[in-house]
Amino acid sequence: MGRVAGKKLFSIMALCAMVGLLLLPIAVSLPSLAIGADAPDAVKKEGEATVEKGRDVYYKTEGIVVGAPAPKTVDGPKDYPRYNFESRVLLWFANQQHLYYGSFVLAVPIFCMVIEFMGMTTKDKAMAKRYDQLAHDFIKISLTAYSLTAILGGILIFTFLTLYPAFFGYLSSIFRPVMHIYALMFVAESGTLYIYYYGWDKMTDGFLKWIHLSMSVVLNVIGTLLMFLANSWIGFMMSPAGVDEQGRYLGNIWHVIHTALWNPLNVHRILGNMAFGGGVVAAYAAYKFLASKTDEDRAHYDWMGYIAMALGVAFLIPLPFAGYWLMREVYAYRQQMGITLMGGLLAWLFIIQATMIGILFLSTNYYLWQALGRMRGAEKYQRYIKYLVFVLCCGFLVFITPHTIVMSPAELKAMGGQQHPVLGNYGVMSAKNGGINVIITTTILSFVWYMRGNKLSTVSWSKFGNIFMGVFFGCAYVNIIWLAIYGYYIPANVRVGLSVPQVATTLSCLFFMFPLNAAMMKGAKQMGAIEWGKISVRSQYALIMLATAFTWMMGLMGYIRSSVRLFWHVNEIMRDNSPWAYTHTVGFAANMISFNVLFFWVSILFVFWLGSLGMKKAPVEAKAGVPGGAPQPAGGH
Amino acid sequence: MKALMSVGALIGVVGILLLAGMTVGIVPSNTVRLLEGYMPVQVILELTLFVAGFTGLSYMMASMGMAFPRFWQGILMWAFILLYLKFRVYPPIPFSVRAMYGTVSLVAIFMWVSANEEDWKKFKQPIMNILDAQAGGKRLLRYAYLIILPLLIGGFSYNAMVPKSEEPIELRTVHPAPPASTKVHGKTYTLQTSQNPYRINLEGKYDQDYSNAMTVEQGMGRLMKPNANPWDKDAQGYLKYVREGGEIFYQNCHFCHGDNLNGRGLHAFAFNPIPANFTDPGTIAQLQETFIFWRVSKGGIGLPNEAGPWASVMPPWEQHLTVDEIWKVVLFEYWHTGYYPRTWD
Amino acid sequence: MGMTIVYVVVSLVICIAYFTAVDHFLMESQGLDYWYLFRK
Repeated sequence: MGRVAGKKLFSIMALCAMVGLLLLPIAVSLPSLAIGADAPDAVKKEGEATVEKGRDVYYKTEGIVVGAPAPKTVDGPKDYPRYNFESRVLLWFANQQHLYYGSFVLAVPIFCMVIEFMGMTTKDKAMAKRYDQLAHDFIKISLTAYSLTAILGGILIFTFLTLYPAFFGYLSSIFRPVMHIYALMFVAESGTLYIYYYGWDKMTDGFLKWIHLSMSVVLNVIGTLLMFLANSWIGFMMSPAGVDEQGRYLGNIWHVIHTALWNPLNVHRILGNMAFGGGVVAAYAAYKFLASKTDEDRAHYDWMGYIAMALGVAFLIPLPFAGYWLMREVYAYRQQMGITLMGGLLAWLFIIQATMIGILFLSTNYYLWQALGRMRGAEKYQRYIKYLVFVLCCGFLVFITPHTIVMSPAELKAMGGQQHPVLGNYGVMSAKNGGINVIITTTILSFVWYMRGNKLSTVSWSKFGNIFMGVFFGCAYVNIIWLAIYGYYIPANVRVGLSVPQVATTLSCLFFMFPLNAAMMKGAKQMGAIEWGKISVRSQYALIMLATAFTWMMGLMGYIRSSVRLFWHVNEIMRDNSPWAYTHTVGFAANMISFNVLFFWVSILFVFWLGSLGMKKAPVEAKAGVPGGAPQPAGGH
Repeated sequence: MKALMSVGALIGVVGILLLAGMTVGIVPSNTVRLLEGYMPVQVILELTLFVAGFTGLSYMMASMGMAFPRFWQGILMWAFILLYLKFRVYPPIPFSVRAMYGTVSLVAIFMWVSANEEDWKKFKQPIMNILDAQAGGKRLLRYAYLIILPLLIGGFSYNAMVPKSEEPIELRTVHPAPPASTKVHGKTYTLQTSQNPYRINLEGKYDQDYSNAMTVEQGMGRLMKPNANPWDKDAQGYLKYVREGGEIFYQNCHFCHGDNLNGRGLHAFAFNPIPANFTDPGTIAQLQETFIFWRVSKGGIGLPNEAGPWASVMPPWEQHLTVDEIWKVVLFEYWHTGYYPRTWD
Repeated sequence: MGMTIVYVVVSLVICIAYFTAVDHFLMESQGLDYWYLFRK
């Protein structure tokens, strides 16, 4: 016992040492930055008159001008060399593909870490083996994707250099040290990843296994930092800081990195990546499920798909809150930017986004209902699915009703104005909040049903528990809908506050009903086994749908975030003077996003196929735990 | 249980008859009135009632030994929703929204009929029977489908491609992003920080809470609060400015925006789109006071590029009114509609 | 049957009290009045 604890301590120390060493490049580079900032002081001594001071556009601090002003570009081959094609679209494509692969590669090691940890702490030996195998499978997929990410990153840089030399020159002149650290950390990331993957079978027991797990932590720390650095560039483009009004660098690299939107972007992107990664892995599992020939394989991939879906959805639920925070910061930074996004030019895209969110939740629910089918004894719940469908459908319909309706002039006249007495009321925030909260609560209810599907509670208070649960959900629905209606009868400044208790109601269901259900199901009687692999084929298509919706939404939101700068390369600092400084039509953007999504899925199918080439030896251990279905995955809740 | 289901079935039958009547035009669509103000909830309640009714109906039929095939249940349910949206709700819902609703309900019906393996088999059975085509009649039907389906799809494509003389649908940005600042009569106003100089309390300080307490009641009928009558000749401060704003409004604005501020003035229907409706929660209630100030001063011609297609004929009022007059009109608009200007804290 | 009714009533009381408290206190924490419409 003491030895184990000692080993744990030792492995933690080893981990800290590794993290420390890997972060050394940053520590080393910090003084050099300071020297860089000091350098102008030398100039200062030579002649006071040559020193020019500038004022930070965001932090409002005084600083000594170090860099050159942002170039004023002119349309022509010098600043905007081009093919006979829209350069912006080429860049869009390269950027989006790099981001898809990048976020996939960042998300999968986090899953690996979680699953490997679950495997190590599980008491059940067969189960532990399965978790370990799953984590190994995950990282194998990400390895090929990793090199593709690097290739796409290269393509992206070349696209920048060749098509937008003036802009990229300016950006790299400001971010010079950051870009170098970025490149160095990429080396560290690759090294860790390869050791982690190739060392898997060598480091299987006890202490070495802890070291192995620690490496996944290191890997994720580096990956996250990499993403933070990359985020600082887009943060700077949207909400510049650390430069004066002409775009001259003022010597404080932290101001340039830590812009107004940096942290909200960081949080939003981490959560988004995780949800996206879960979706892609679930789609992979679904693809393998559909392609597998034996029951063992089907059981394995059914289970894998379930775990990945649960992890993805677990990160999907906090995502809207991170989104609200980002939006609030955008409003705080520039009100016009906020209005352009939510009420103005880009508002139409948010209606599409609402539809995609609805599709995500619909597919999740559908998958869970289908998953009831692989449980014996869950039939009693299946009869009631149709009512959930109805509730979900009503919530969805209200949620996607646009406030400003697309209509032909003839329809406008028939309606007698822009506003419709029914649709107009569904289109405002009060009703929409009600709609989405009904959807999320229904999803929670589906999860509860799924978790108790094949079980019968044996605790003494089970009758009260069941009734209480039913009443709690009923009251939650009533409260959500009541607040949505109540909002129409009180003034706007009171109304906006109603969304808080509404969200709290939904979260109450999540935080009280899950533990209550778990408590009731402790030592519950099993009505029948979970027969992994006996799930319907349709459920797997739902998983693929889920992943596609994630991908599409990511492309859409990325486009929105990028195009809110309108005609600026760097907001209010460097103007885009190329012929493509206009905002695309909604139709064109949608087609472009669809193309990107299609390309990503075709290419990642290739990656999956490559992975399957090396996997000819069937995971023998994985089969051991499947029959009987006794092991119950903890899932992501 | 049985009694409950019979009531449900009765509701279902009555509902179907009513809707059928409305569809063919025997029963006028306002037989069961949609109440203004309660319509959104009413529509959802009605739909819930229908679904409950259909559940009862299907239960009764099954218990009487003539179960209705799942396949036709699904199809009829969808047809019902489409017909309901088209013929029940008045004023007519534009096609784009009906298409969205139709698609969502189609997906929902698919989720319902395929919720478990058994139901899905039942639903698929008629389709499979046609595809298998064991008997002669079925085979004939299959050939018929082979011809009809391509023709139908071809017809849709043709219909989509054939040139039409309708005006195209336009996506109009109703509230474009305002500039950071605007210059009116030689003075620059920063939109984020400027305040209405007439929204003041008795001490002459800017005070939104004070003015909010003096606006009309939002709830029913927009009644004036007691002791807050701007047309009282003793009214001072805020209320006096509201009255002056009202005078300016009725001399200049109400011809288009209407005497009830609902965008239906004398000349309103000469324009397309019709003027802004201030009583709608989506217009001034959503915006800062300075946004209105900017829009009134600069008019349609001062809209930024992104507001295209340029669809506003509002004159730039800075050419006709003073800055003070514009602020007073804005004050009046909020007072009369009972909305509070949006603030950002 | 008797117990069921007792259970339902107890649950209802708890849930309604809880959600009313959620509505009231979360509105109050934002400096707003949940009972706005009823106080007038």
